[in-house]
Amino acid sequence: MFKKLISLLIALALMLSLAVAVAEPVTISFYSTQAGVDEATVALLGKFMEEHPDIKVEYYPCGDDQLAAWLALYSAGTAPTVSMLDVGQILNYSDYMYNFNDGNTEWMSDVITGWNYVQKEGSDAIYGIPSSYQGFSLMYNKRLVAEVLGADFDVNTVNTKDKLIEFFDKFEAAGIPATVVFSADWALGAHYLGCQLFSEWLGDKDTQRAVLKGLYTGETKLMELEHFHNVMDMFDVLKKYNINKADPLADTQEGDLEMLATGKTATMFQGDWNWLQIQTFAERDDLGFMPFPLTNDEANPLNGTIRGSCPKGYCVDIYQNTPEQQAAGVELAKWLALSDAGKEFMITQLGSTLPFTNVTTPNGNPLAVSTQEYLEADKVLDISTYICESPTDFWLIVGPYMQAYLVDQMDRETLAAEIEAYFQDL
Amino acid sequence: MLSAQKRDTWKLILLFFLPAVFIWLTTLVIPFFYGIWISFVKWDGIGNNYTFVGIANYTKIFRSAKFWASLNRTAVYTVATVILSNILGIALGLLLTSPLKGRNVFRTAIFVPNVIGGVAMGYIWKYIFHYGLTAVGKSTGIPWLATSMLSDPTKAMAALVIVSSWQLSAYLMIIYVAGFTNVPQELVEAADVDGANAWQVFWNVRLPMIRSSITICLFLAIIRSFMVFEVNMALTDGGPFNSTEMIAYRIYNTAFVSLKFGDAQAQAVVLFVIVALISVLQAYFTSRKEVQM
Repeated sequence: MFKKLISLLIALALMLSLAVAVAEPVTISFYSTQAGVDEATVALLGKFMEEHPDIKVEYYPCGDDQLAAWLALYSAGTAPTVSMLDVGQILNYSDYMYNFNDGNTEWMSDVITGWNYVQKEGSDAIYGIPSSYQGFSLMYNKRLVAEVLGADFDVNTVNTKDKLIEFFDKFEAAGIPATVVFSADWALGAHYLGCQLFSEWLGDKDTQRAVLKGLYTGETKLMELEHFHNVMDMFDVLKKYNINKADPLADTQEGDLEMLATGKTATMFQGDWNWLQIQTFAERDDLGFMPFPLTNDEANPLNGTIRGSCPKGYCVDIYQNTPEQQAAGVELAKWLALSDAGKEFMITQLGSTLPFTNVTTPNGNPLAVSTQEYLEADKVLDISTYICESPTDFWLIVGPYMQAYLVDQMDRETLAAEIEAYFQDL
Repeated sequence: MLSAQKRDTWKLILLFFLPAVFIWLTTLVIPFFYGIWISFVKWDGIGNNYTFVGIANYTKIFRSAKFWASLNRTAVYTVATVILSNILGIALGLLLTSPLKGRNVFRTAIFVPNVIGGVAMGYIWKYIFHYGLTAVGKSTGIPWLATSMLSDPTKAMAALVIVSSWQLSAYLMIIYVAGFTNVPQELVEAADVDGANAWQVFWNVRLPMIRSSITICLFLAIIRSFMVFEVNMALTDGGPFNSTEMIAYRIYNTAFVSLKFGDAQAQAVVLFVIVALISVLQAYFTSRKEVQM
């Protein structure tokens, strides 16, 4: 009798523990490289957990040191299940990432552009879902343009190099400096040179890759590449009209943006994400994007475009997370990117442009609205080859050369030779 | 067999000794040797795919002109910062041990830069150099002040030395204050009676008596200057055009931007050997001249 009772109790205990184990939610983690919105991110994850009571999400906020902190989590054996990373980094670490091309790819129908950015050449694996889209071009102050050129002036008519110079001259004649060149190494190296050099201006992705690979092998000679000269000729134009030309390196991002936003200068070459900083200024005018032409060929539609790409994406770790965690992570990644709540977060908290259909939340970032308009008009040149496939330290090495070029400490020939030497040394 | 008393003593020793050894081993010794191992492999920073490359990472360093240029400028920066910060530290220490109204307030106020983090301080000074000093230069018509010091390679290096010395001297000041406070008053009075002037009292009495403070301060200043990172990143970001990229910042970039962890670790090992050698030699030579009381 006693033995029976013991057996019964053990069986009961086992069943209970099994029931508890079944009810236990899967615990996963989320690492985001979007700084400054921690509280809103926690609230967003709370919403996800309400909708998915079987999944518990822990949030790892990033510090200043985004990649180092992320790698530290791997070293500690606590790799985030889902990470929002630069797409280039996702591809660098693709061996450890979930392949979203898993047969459940209905989410791709919601993506206007970008999912193919997190793919490697020659592979159909997709290592991430894009989280946002970013436009780069000349940001312009709408009030100043209306004052100097008239309220009806259409910036899209500035579609050649000479027209841009004429545009700048009109501001100079009105006593308003035409542009400001932000001189940080990453801005000059990555956002100006890198994104321009390896954009669709060169041709399709294969053509861009050929130029990039040619730099490694020494076959690409920049001084023989017309596109390189076009990019640098336009940089010379920006240099000439730079409000800071007396001391071009004595600037800060905040200072330059403030000059643009408050009407001390008419334009600035940068991207729509700068709105996060601009919106904090007490006084600011309305801003928008205008095309950044590279040649004088009016018939070339490329001269009427801005540049753009998906900079970041959601990826799921398969190296340190269990299959259950991976499945929950895929659920979270898709929800963050494609649910109404996830889209609303990206728009209201970060002012991001989204590369998805069915975006109904109004965007308070006029630059993102401008990017969206160019995107819808098919007037965005893709720069994802640079973003995804260039060496990770391109800006670090080439940025300082561009700074030297900006202050006339380096000529174009030396710049080209230094860039080629950098690739040969990789 | 150990007696019960000896066993208790050993237990007590182990009780205090083992936790410290455990922390020392896990946070210093093991990472140190792991770091040396990394310097002989190619590694992506995540997985266990270590590819042994022998001394290839080291030979790359010896071929890299940029590494040696960075090390060379770090040495120049270190010499300038060590000298300037110690001269300032001694001057402040001397001033704040003399009968001065409100000297505790001054001590606290001067120490404040050490409470501010290096990154915040670097950004504050960046605005001062870019906008503050240039505004003064433009309004007063002083041409060399009208352009930012951070735009010119030589001046940017000077700016880095100024900011680092400003921060470091306040830290060293505390040690020098302790040193000057411990100088026996009778020695100073005896020198006064013998007719020594203020400079002679300082040079022949006070300074020799604080040599142990100088040893410590030189040691700290050398180490901190060779390892400078935060101010370098926030103030100059290695610019203009890499002219102020110090070695620690270079190592960081090699690891976390270039993702070449083996190369970065080899550079770190070389830096460790150089700094250890210089520090030990400095401590040995300066401590020989210390006055034993």
